[in-house]
Amino acid sequence: MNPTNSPNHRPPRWATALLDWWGDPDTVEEVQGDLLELYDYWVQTAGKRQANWRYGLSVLKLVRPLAKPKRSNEYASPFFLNPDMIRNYLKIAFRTLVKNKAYSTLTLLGLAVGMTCAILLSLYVRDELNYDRYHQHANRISRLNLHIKWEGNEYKLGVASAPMGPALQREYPEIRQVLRVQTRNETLFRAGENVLYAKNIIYADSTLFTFFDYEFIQGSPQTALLSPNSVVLTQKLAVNLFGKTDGLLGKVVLVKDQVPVTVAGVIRDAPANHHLKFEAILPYSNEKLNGISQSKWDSFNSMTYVLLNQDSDRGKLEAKMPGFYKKYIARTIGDVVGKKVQFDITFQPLADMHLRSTHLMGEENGGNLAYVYTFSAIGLFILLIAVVNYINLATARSAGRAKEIGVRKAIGSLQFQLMGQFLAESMLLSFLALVASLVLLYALLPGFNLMTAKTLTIDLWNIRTVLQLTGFALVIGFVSGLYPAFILSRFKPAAVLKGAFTTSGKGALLRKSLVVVQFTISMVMIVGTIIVYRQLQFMRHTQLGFNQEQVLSIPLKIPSVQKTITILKSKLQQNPVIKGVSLTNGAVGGEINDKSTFSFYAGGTEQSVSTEYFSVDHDFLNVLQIKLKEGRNFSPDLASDSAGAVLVNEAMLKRLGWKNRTVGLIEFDTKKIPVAGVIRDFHLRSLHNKIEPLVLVLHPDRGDNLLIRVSPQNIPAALAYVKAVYEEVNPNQPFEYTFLDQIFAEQYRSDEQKGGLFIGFSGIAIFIACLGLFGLATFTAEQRTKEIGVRKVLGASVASVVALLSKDFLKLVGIAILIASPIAWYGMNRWLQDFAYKIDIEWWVFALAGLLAIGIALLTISFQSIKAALMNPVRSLRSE
Amino acid sequence: MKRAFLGEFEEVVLLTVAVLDESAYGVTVTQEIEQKTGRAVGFSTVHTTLQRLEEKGYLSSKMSGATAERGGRRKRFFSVTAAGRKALVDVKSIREQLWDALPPQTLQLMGG
Repeated sequence: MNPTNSPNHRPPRWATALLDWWGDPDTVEEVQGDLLELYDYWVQTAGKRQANWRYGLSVLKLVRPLAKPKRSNEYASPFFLNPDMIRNYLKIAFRTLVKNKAYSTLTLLGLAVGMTCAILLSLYVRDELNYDRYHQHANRISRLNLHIKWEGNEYKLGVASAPMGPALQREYPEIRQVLRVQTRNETLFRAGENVLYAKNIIYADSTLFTFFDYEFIQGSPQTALLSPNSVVLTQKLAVNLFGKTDGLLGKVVLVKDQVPVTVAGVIRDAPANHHLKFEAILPYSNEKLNGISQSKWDSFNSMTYVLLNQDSDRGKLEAKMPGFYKKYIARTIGDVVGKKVQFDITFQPLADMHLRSTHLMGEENGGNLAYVYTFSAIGLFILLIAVVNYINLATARSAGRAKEIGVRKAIGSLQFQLMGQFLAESMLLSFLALVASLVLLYALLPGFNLMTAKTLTIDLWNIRTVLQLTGFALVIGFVSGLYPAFILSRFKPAAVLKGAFTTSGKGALLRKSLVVVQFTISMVMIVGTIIVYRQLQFMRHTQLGFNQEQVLSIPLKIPSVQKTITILKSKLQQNPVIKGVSLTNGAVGGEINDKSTFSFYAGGTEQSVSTEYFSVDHDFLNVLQIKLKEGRNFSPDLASDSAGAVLVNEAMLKRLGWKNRTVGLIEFDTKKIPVAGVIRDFHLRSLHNKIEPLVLVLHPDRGDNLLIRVSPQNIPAALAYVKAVYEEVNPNQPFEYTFLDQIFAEQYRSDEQKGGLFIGFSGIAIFIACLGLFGLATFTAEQRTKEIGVRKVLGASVASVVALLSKDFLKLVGIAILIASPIAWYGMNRWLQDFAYKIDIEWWVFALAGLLAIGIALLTISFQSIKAALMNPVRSLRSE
Repeated sequence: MKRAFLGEFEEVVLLTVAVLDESAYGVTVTQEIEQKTGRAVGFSTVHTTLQRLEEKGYLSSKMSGATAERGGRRKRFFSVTAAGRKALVDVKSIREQLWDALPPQTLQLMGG
């Protein structure tokens, strides 16, 4: 037999491949050989075509797709997920971790801290997203939102007027039920001897209990609010009033020292993620108590909810609203405004209320979707940094493990088994980190709850939580281990064992990019931290236009107390520690006051401006130390003032386009009167809000709030005096007070809370990034021990060696700064848009942040590089 | 005693392996049969028959002789086992008995 070995004669490739796949594994080798030999023979004897044909036919006949090898391989590789193998992986992984303690601690610490942050933030975000979703009918409930525009006035409201709800229900059958809720604060409750202010209460229709799920301790949801003289107490208020929660049905409670109501139910305090906050529920129908005029179409003061038959009805219903407006509202508010009005009614789903209401008046400081996104991003970033640490350190260490991998491969390990080995290591680390982070979580959660004013918990006995956490650890272990496993298991055993293998080039680019990513994130966070901090400082220290220090604010919500105001005021003024007393109707700081529409006349044209107003007495400007711009203050000596006088602020003049107050007249109590004076603009509320046009009306003896300026020398004495006088004039009434600066500080609490969170988590992100850098620097220094030794022998100084080692890292940090700056600028600019008064983002912030980043990086690296540079070259060069 | 059963083609293959002695493997067996019998036999048929004969215990095989011609693949060389020889002898003796029993005139007729 004489086969020619001509390369021109190749059997058809498809047939060879087919045989490769599906030939009988026991005989495939000799069959392939025989066929190849025969093919040559056939080409010689019968020609190429015939040979191809016979070859193909033979292959087709010899295909045994289902055949399994019958002879077992004596040295077979076990399947890489075999339980024995997994046990072995874990054992080796554990030994590796123990062997490299420093490295294991670094990665473990990074992962554990990262996981803790991620879990904390996910708890926070989940809580924010789950507001009000627990109610049975949650997805069928919507709230009426109004958007009203006329003549340059614009309102976006989450409240509607009292008659709108019932009218909607009459008109549209797709609305099953309607609920109106009005919130009030500081309401006096008296039961026997006990008297106290409930911080928040609501007036609600009896349908409240069909809309929202409350847990009744006593009474039943069907009957609780049916009578206009009933009240439902929360557990908290019941305990404070009666000292118990049972046997209270039928007990009488005096509200505002005016109206007796009977307890018709006691409910458990609503969960923290319910948007309504209250301590008691009173009937909406009790007009005597709440003073809501049920037929006033243009008084927007009640949140109005609708329960639809189907969720899908919402869009259709919204489309019908222009008709509803024309039929019911246009005429009624047309009488008041007399101008063309744009009046949009929309239905906001219950689930959106918490996070998507910041555009609504009075709800600017509620939950904010932007924060949910921000915190999710921060959580993910921190996790990313921790994972990147692992990847970086694991690949950097590959040189140290190359020999191990070479030997394993030489004695028969397959790539999949090696990958399993490395993945087992990352999984083990990830689960250890999870355990550590759970311990951390338990330690941190109370503090975190205090900071965020939430009641987050993590329940480890819940199977779902356990599954989620396990899944989380698995994913983290897999994600962080996959790339190193892939890289390490790919080493060529021959090259590695020959010693011709260096890691300097391997994965260096990836490692560098990952460091850049880490420091980009850190840099963005540093910039964010500086800007957040500066904005918070700015808000705390900006002049408000009045002096809010040492001013006491005392609520006078009870009619009987309001009657004693004149006596109270004159008695208080007798003591020199009291610098001034002013009575107002409405609050400075805190909630939005009533709004009203005023008409101004100038040069024969009328302009109506809808604005917040409050009534004050003669002393208001003096007590708050508000400056006059022009004109005069209210005067007790002018008889004309007692018939009606108003002050406006600068913003009002600007809005009207008047040069000064004498340009025109204001309509007040159906008379047109001149504006008495113009006051300098002052901040009525936090710096989130712009200074709006304001009207102050003189009412020397009507009000529900007392502002008292006390002497800064002896505040406790002043406070004691005020209390004594109050209790003397109003025996048996609770005395409550706050300082005005506290009220303002309160408005920034949510900002400071979030600012604090942001700053804290930024610090952690930077910390983890530094851990990674530290590890990386350690390994670089280790790898270059010999090089450094040689350099030192040849005369390099310590400084030059340190510079050599630091240079590479600093370059990366530099790149990170370049990438991060625009991102940080954009993000922080967006954040600042939330504030009407804000700081400018100045260039030095970026310079400072950059310097900080470089400084932190240098510090981290320097420990290792100085250590390496100081090492005696004899030691590093001795062994070869 | 259980008699060996050999199909006609099996017998041919088994005999060919015996004829080729040391150098019997898929290719040579196929070529030998082709040349000796003038029959066009497929390689696949020969291969499966060889396998079957090995399963029946008439043939034994061992791998050896990797050559560059075959892309480094080894050959499976077959040799006839004792059972195989016995089977061949059995078949042959049966044939001979039958031939011997043939009447002379018939033999002449056929030979004629």
